[in-house]
Amino acid sequence: MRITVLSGKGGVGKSMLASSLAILFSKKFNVIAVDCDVDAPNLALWLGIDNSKKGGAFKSYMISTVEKPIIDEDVCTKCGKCLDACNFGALSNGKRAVELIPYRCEGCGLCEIICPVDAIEMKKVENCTLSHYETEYDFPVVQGQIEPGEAESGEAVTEIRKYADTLCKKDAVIIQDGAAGIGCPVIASIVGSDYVVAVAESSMSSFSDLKRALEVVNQFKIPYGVVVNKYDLNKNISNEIMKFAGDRYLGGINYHKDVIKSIVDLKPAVEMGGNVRKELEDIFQNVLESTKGLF
Amino acid sequence: MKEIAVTGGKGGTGKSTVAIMFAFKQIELGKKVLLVDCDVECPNDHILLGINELKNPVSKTTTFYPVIDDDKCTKCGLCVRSCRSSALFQPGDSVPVLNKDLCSSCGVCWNVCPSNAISKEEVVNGEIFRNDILDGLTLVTGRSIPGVRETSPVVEQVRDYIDGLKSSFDLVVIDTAAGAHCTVMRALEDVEKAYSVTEPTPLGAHDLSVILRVLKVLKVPSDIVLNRSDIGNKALIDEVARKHGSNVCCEIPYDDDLARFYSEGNFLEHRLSISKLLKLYKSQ
Repeated sequence: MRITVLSGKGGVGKSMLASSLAILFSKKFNVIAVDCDVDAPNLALWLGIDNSKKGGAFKSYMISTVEKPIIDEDVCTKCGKCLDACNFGALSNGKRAVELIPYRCEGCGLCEIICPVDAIEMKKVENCTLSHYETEYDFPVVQGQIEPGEAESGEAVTEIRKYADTLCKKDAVIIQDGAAGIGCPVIASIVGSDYVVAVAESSMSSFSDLKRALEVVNQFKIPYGVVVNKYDLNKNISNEIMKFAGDRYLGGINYHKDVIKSIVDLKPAVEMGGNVRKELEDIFQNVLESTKGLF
Repeated sequence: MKEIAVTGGKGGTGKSTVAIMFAFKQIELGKKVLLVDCDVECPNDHILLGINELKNPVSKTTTFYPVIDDDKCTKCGLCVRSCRSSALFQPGDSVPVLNKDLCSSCGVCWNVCPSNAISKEEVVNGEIFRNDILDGLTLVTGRSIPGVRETSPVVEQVRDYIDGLKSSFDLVVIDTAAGAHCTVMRALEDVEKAYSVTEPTPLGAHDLSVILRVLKVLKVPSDIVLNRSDIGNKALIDEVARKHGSNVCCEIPYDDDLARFYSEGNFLEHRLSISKLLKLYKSQ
């Protein structure tokens, strides 16, 4: 079963919740944690993989999710046909030949096709580091990190997911921590999910973004539940979100001192004990209840 | 006219808050500011400035999808084989069918078709709104249509739209989305300076590193704004700043009132007290 945690708005607690849910699920099920934020992956950090341990990745290697044009300076006549044709403005006039602006390039290959002198060849570019760590909770976490300035985040998410699927044991629960936003990388994580946990914080901004994220979830007809984080910061707004969620409401997390400590010390919220542990366990039970038929 | 961007990598650090604070500070000095919300997937600046709903777009952003003429199509399948996004498929020996969800509007298919059977259909993928908030503050918001995968073209068209307005303003502040992907990069391109907003936590430091690397690729100089500066460990951020040749230029201590104003979305009413919270290390 695949559960994706998303929110639309960044910074409302997706990774905090995903890491704690993964730990709770792991007490009853085989779990694979997947970080679908390939720009700035945080899930492994929440699960105790700090920078010093990163060198000890079980597996870590570069993958290619895109091909980019290599322009032969000696053959290029600077005729400009590729510049004019490129829909992404990814080519510019250099001194000796046409030059690529890598972060604009989508790897479509139109320039290679258009070039009248065969000066362009599409070649695979390693644009993402895939890493697989074994957490201290006896389940793996898989993440990707896109090279700075490279595009193709959506394709990278798809590759990270494909790798994670190879680790699936019987009846595994895959917990996917989604990226912020509602575009390509988020859609690449939603596709094929059995259930979505949508997180909002108690602010008008987050409520607005939640609705936009759920518009996309509904387009894919995936069942979902709603969690309200920082519930007590503005109870009026939290109550509005709860009303909006109706019977899909999974629970709320108050902005305790323990939660702040959890973020500052980067320790999973469910391990902080006290109120936040109870709140997370309640949310977990409600997720279990809502996904009963999906196992 | 100066054009700056407020970004940060990590979500929820306070980009929109800082962008609006910068705008408020400049307005106090009598300057005219254009605030541009380039977080087109989840725009929030309008909410913080008390606008409940974005209405009456001043412009629509568009993209193109291929349309195949059944009569001209010879079913040779060249478009299908040439499409690197696998957006075209050919069931049996029929006219190829487009999966819009996978199409990146690159134009390969309509360029390679030997029978000129593929034309372009313009489709709306987003909207641009303009709100004149105050004397001296105008907000332009880009908003993608939910379900659209490629949102960087929406950002590109927002930036093209503001080209026509920029000269009437003293300062243009571009508020970017969270992350470091192509949509964020399109918002950061060619700005004079970026301000990367972060918080003094391990995740704040980690994601700050990511965005500073991206800014280096884009050749955009960046200073750092430290939000919630008194909660956590400032040394984490100082180290990242040092490593990347950047520096923390201002900080905002955690403030209960600010958090409440943010939550309610009424920065406008409280603009004087909000702009006082921005502690500049040197004049900006």
